[in-house]
Amino acid sequence: MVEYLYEKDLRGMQFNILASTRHEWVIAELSSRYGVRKPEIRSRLIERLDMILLENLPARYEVWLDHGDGEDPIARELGVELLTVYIPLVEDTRMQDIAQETRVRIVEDGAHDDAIAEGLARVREMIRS
Amino acid sequence: MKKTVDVSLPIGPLHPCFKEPARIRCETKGERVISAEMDLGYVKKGIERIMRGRPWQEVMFLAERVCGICSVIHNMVCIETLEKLSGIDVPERAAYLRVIVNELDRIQSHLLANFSYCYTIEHETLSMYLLNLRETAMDMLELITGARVTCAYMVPGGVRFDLRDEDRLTLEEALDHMEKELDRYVGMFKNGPLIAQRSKGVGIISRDDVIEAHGVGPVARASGIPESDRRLEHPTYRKLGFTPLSYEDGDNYARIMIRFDEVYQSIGLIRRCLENMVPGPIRGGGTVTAGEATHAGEAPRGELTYYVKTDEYGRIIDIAIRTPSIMNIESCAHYMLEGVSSAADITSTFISADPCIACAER
Amino acid sequence: MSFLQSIKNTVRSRSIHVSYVNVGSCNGCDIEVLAMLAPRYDIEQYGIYVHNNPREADILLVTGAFTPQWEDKLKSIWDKIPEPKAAIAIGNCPISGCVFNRRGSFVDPPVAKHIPIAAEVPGCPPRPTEILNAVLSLAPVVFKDYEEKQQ
Ligand code: SF4
Repeated sequence: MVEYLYEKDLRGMQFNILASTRHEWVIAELSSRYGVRKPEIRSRLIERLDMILLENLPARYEVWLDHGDGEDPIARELGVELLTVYIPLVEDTRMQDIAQETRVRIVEDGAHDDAIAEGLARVREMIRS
Repeated sequence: MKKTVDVSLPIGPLHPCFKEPARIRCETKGERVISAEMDLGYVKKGIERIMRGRPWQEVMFLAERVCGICSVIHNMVCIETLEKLSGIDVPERAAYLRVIVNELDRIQSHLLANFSYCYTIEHETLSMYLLNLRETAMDMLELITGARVTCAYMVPGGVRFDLRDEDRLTLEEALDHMEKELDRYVGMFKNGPLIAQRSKGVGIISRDDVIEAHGVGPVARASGIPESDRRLEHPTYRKLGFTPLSYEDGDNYARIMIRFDEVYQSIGLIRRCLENMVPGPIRGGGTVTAGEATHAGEAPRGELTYYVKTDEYGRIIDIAIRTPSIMNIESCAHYMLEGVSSAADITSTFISADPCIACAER
Repeated sequence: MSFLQSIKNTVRSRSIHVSYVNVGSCNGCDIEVLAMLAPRYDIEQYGIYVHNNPREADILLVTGAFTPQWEDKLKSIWDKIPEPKAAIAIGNCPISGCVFNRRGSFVDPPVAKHIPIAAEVPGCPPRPTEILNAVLSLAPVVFKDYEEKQQ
């Protein structure tokens, strides 16, 4: 007889990983950057990432702070690589689209802050969905 | 994204090759791995949680028990963080003794890692040789510190025992013995044609990927990042003229070879310490006060960071430990395992990254 | 003692298969179990073989304070081991929880709550020779005349 021995619900363990000081810090940063509430960020992280990536979150976030998104200030403000490469929460293509459209809007309208705010709002929706 | 997956292959949590329980879930196409995920949580004890609110005298022993393989470096980094935040100086002889014990610990840890790798690729002769050689290093650790594992050798302001002159002679003899034996084993590893086939070009991780996953230690140095070695920033190692090693290939073979080379290097460092050491006090004393500090040291597996915040009685208010294995297992699971061509290579690649699950989960 | 039993006794005294399981240790005890494999201790002269496969094992070495993830798994590993079998707790962790048994941690010692433990080797960690000694002194107690004792 086949028993699904190992397919236990691991969410409790994943939540325990996210409870450490450094993880709290990363989650607070993400939450203030995108305006998503902390519990929501946690549940998205638990849904979409595997456990070792969860453990590695603070290190990956630090690498992004130092090296991520290279020379591109708009991508940096939206956190393009942060959400696609370093902490892969959203789809790559849609994120690139948002960044591209934001860039176009800035060139056309010149309204830098508005465009970034709108871009961030769209990213927030994507994180939530 | 749609993937064509033939088999989802779970490995673990109990596996003959793993020293510790962990589960890798590989999605494979034929035998080629497309992607791998890790499940952890089998040894999660919550050490950081029980450390909070305790005096440093207790936290010191808890810190050692984060990981039994590299307990000395956990002891060292924890104590150095406490010294940093309360401004305690270490006498010179004690600083050298710390390096000696730390390097002995590195030797035994690297030999254990290479033992596991050779065992996994089924070269049992070589692995048993290495394990036996490791016992020599363990004996020396016991000689100096009084215990094989979890020896609590360092305390704020110094070390607990001095190295007696007759023990020093034994240590020197043991180093000569280890070096001689190691020459033979490294020769066996280098010249074994089957070993090369199982190891070269397997589990490659590029320099950029290592940086992205924040890989550290031998994993990073095998991919050409020598500057990742935290020993470069340690004052005693600087005095000893330490220069890190590196390999370029980033495959299993490079990761094993860099460990062998570092064992030689550690032997050299211990010899230099013994030369430079002059008699003197080994314990300066000092009290742990209120403060907050972050300090990093080089564990056998890579950079180990402690963040500690204390109150004026030396109680720990907040602590965060970042162990190297987290980053190394991640770079292994998500980068090295991708494209590995057979199920046997999955385990050997995983072991070559020297995963330490107890560290990663704490 | 029947003839068959005496043959079984002889065979079993020279073939003790050991498997180990880590249920949340700090690794210290695990590597001491591994160090036991080293040629210095020469466990094969006593007929002890370590391979980490519960289905072939006679003796299970348990290390570590019990973490919640193992609740169902340890029992099922124990059930997979064929009779006659015995479990040895290695180190302080499975006996009392060692330093981890504090308020706020995730562990749930002792292991004896979950599977029957036949022998305990205290120490943090115990030396390889002590582990070896425990295995050697437990084996005859459990395996000698096993079938006759059952009747
Ligand atoms: S008894 Fe000590 S050495 Fe063994 S697993 Fe527990 S804490 Fe680690």
